[in-house]
Amino acid sequence: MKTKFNDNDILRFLHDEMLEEESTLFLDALTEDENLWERYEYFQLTTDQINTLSFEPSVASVQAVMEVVKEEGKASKRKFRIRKLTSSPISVGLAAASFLTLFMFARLGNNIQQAKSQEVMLDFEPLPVPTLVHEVRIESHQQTDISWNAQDLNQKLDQIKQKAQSLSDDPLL
Amino acid sequence: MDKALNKTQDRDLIKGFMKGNDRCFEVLLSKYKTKVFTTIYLIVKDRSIAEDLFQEVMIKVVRMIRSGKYNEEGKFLPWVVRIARNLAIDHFRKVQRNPIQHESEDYDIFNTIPRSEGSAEDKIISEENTRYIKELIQQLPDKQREVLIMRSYADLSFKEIASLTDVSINTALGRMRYALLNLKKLAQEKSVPQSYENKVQR
Repeated sequence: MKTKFNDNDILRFLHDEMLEEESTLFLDALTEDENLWERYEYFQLTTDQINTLSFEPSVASVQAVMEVVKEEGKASKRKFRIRKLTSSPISVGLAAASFLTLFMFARLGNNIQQAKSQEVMLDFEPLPVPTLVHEVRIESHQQTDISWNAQDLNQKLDQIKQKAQSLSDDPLL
Repeated sequence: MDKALNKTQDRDLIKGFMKGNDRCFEVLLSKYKTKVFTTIYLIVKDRSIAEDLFQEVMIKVVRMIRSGKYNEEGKFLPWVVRIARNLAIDHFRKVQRNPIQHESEDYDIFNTIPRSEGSAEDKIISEENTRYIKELIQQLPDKQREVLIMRSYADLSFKEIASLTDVSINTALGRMRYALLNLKKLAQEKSVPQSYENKVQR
């Protein structure tokens, strides 16, 4: 370990950049070496003077920085949320399930539409002309009771039952 | 400001900020704003440019932390000072291409410096000293001024300064030594305020 110290050593000591052991030796040298002490005193006083200097940024500058921090923070939080939502396995599963549900509904809607149009087709098969059963006329009010032939009605009922059966067998319904 | 947050280490503050706690950055900003600003101001020597650069530096710091570009192994302040130094160099390059006018004499930096408590006379002496020291520092050769600013105001070690300026530690120490000796020489050349002269010549 050296015992002769120069200006660079004084600066390292002043700025706490000396190892403990070296500092002890330096302090010993300071008490013995008058020339070293004089130089140390000059550097210490000048350093102290320099350290008194400090400048503050304006309040406006600090506020401007914090504005940016907050604004960009909000934006990045939104991005983060979206990213988090789209990247988690649960959300991917949810999205897939939603897509599948929508697809099922679309197919179901399509099937119902087809079934309805078939039913409409069935409905368009005209029944025989109904039989007039009873007619009452009281002043302005008129009431008419009509009736179909029982065989025609049973036939129609069978058709409807068959159609209902075919629809209930459809796995998508 | 939260007292608990003030005591937190820089590393934890940066982690908190990365997780979305803006308060953590506010603590870092209030902790280092004076050192960063003093460093920038003494490099560029112009208050309004220093204000602009300060904002630019801090916004860059925010964006770099948020994008995960901050290296946790390093210390926060030296990292910020490195960014400040690079932006100041960029500024000087721009100025060399498009010279601009210096700040007017009407705009006084010292109007914004918080003053210490004391008598009116103390304040005047303190203001005079501050102005005087600032003038002396600004007359130093660039490389010496740079080392002095980084060591005294930005708290960079001589090793960090050496690495930043791409020189050996001994060269950085030598520049600091010359800076301090030149301050004495410059002080003798100028008319020295009484208080400063008394202290230096004691």
